[in-house]
Amino acid sequence: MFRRDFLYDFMPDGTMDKTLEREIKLARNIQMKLLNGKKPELEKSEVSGISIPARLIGGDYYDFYPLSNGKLRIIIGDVMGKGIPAAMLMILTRGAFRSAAESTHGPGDTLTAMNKAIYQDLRVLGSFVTLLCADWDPEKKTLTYASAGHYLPIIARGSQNLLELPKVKGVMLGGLPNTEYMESTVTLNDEDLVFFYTDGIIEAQNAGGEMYRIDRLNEVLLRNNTLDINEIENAINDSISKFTNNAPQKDDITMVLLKVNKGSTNITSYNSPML
Amino acid sequence: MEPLINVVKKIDGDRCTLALDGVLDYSSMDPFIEEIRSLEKWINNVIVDFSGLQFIDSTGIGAIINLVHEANTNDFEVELVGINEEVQMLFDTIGVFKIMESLKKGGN
Repeated sequence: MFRRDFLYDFMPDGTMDKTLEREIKLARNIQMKLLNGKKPELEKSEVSGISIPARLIGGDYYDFYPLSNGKLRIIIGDVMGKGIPAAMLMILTRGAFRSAAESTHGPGDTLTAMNKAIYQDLRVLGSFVTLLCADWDPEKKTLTYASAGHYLPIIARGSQNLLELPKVKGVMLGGLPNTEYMESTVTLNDEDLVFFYTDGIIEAQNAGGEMYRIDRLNEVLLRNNTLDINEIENAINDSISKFTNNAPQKDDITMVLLKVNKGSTNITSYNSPML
Repeated sequence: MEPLINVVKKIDGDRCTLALDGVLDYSSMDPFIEEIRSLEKWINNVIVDFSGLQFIDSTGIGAIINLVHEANTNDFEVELVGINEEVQMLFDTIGVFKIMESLKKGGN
């Protein structure tokens, strides 16, 4: 390991940069493929997710895990920091989620198990991860959720109402050992839209340093939430892109959408790195 | 180019105040980390004053949390003062205050 670092330093001019560039691109490919894993199929609802790294690779994370009882476990999170270090911890977080989701009963238990698994690593590294984990039951139309220091999702109902979810507070992963995470449950209506997000959206900046902020996001959600899920996602993306107008972003932008439908189900998800 | 953050250090007996002026984020946090690393051994109380803070990102919050854990390990107190409503909500959501409270009660 040390020998390899040593060799990098003494390569001829330019070689190190090309080697690192190639490795970063490979790392990006790994991350993109993991984020774009096989998507589950649901009844009477659709989910979609997108993550746009501020750099070549990022520390935001989302995932879907179909449970044997027909529910879908959804997770979205934000690793402290940027770029390669955050991406490495994002992979650690993904592994912890995949492992915990299989063996835990609900989103609160999942977060508790994840914290138990990676707390010590995060503390040693002086890092943390915020996560929102939720179980969607398409049969009962209930959403049960728990938060590890992450923003609660926004629920848009029709073109007028944004529902405020009952608060569940929980410390970020890596904050405290042996933490337990409380859950809350809401029942959704047909056509409701649940919007999970990371702070990169509301903190997206234009060239003047102005932030996108929650008010703009709420307005776009209300204006578009009767559309198809892909159209809603595109509308939000377009709104952020128009606002930022190609200004370089400091933070990754990630969102997951859950739309309750009256009819059939479709799952879509994609991931588009900002190059 | 002006630094994104200015950390003003004041020592009064065993109390050290670190007043933050500017942006505490991924690109600017080094001066703050340096001040933490070079804290005098006789300091029993570190006060971080956020009155002049314009923005804090997850890396900045990480630095605060690490300070809180370090205080617990090395037996000194940390106080966060001058926090505006927005940062108050952010710290509350992420769990900064809960960590401080829990560590104070011996939750290590």
